[in-house]
Amino acid sequence: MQQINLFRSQTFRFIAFILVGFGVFAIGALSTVIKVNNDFITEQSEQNVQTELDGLLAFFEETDYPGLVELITDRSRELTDRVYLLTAPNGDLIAGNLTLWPRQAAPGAPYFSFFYETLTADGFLREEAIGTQTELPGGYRLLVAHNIMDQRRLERHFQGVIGAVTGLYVGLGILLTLMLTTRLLGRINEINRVCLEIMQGGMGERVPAVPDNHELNELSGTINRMLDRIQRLMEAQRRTNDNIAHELRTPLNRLRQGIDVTLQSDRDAPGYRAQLETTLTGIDDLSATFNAIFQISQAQSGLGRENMMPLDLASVVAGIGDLYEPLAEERGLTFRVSIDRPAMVEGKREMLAQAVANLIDNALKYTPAGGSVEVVVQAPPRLAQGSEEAAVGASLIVRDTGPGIPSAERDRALERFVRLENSAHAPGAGLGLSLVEAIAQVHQARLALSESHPGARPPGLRVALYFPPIKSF
Amino acid sequence: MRILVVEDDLEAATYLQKGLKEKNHLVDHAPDGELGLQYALSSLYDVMIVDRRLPKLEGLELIQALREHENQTPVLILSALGEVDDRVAGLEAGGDDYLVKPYVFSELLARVDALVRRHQPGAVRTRLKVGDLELDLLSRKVVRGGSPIDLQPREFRLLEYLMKHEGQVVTRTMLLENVWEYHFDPQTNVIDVHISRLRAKIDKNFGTPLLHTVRGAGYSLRAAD
Repeated sequence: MQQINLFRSQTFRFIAFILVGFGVFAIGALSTVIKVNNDFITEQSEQNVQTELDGLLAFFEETDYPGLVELITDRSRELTDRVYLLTAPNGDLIAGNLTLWPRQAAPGAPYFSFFYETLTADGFLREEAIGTQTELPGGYRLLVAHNIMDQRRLERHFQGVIGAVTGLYVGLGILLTLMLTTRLLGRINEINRVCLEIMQGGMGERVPAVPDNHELNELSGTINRMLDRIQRLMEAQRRTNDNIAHELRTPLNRLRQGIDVTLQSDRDAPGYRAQLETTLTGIDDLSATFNAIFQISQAQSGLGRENMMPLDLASVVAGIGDLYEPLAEERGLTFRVSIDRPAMVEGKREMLAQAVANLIDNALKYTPAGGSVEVVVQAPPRLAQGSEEAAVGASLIVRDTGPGIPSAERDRALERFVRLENSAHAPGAGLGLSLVEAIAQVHQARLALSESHPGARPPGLRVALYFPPIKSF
Repeated sequence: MRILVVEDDLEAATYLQKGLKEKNHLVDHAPDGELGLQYALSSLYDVMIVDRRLPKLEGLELIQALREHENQTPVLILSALGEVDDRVAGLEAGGDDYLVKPYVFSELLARVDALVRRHQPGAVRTRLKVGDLELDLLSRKVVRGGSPIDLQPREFRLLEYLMKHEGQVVTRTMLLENVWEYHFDPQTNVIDVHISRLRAKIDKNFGTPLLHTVRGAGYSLRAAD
């Protein structure tokens, strides 16, 4: 795993893209405005020049050359920001303050700009003007131009503004991009680093939350929850391995011993047959134990959580109850199943059937003759129209009048392979309740053990499974 | 019966063949999926036993290919995967029954038998008869030797299944699956109690017992012993 390179990071590109895009847009807009403004001012100047020319021409109509020459001479002297030039057909200067016909004043150009020099107290000054020209009768040419230095100064001023703004924007932009990217990358690299450390060693660590970063905290939180789950899975796996080792080795050993001993001496056919049958039974028991371990593992690892469907718990209980009823009667127990209406839960039918069967089977097994076993299915409370989703789901309760489980031992009862002190002589592997617990976990249901008749002797066991409410579709 | 076994584990295949031949079946064996499909398509078998895990062509894919070729030979799937979802996948691929390893041989025999029977089309019967025991599916009445027998709904369903599989061995698992429609492992043999109840009603006060226990396998309903 590497540190993410700043310039190749998604964040950097993203922020840079936005800033560049926005910048281009903003500065483009600004430049356009300024250009439009400049063009307008230029147009104004052109119009002014034209107006003056028209004025001169009008004057010329009335006073002819003498008048024009005098007017031009006067204006040349008085108006320092105007440029005039009147030339004869042969090129001689007649009047005006310009010494040379500008080359930009080609015959085809209506308006043109050119540079000229004036002599001031500080020496020669370079200036610019916009002018227009016309031909007069007799081949004379007249040029009128206005100084546009102010305009040019304004333009340069605006250019300076754009330049400064652009520079500032680029500078700030780069700074901002680097800052934001570094900050975000720093956080992400931190998360990566912690995760790597976790993977390498301590599963106990978790990604810390960052004070003000909502999205990354969401991400960190999710990663932490995933780590929790992984830790649980690893724990479940470890427990499975321990149990497999413990619970399968002993019977395997016993089987082996039985066969070994039998082979030590010659036996007759019935003798061998008997040993073979015993071995076969032993193998079947092993198989059953293995299946149970496998099922519990599956359930605890949460692998069974796919393909859950809404189904009626009451109908499952009714079916299983029907299955066990004759057994209860044979054992001399009263057996009652109470269902008043369908109780919907989200889950897997076969798993629930197994859980219900285990609970009923246990109750029937541990309750002495003459006692009673009761199974109750409670549907989730009916909601009034328009009220919010239910907070309580369906529940299943199995009550018996057997010895019960002392409160101190209830936790142990759920661990695998535990058979409590007073039930050591009852048949069957001690896996029933722990499988129910695992199935409860898969269904996100809560399993609760308590006394069914507190104060009575015996107090009896009450096993309750509280299911979460089914999500409405 | 002609049976095709598609199994890559040679030891398992040998035991299977041996057991089936002892019951007078004709058995062919294919060690991988491709050969299995070839055999299945080129010969006529009454039933096929297909392991899910096979080299060259997976068991479920073999069955799918078989069905695509319009071959309806009943197939029993053998698998170490026993979850409900795995079972469903097997049946959806075109399999007819599903047995989880390790299995009891008598269970396999019973199921193979049932598959072949099921596959033989017969007229839909509304009255079942075994010996002097008669069951009417429409009126839900049971009579033996002329005397009516009062059965609860579940006892009726149980008897109906046994009679539909007259003469065959029916295992406890098959009963749990088909009469109660559950696939789990009951810790105690609850089925046995139901059978003894049924026996008390249909056999006890009558001459010949019809409901027999088959040691190590299950039960069988038949007229002669």
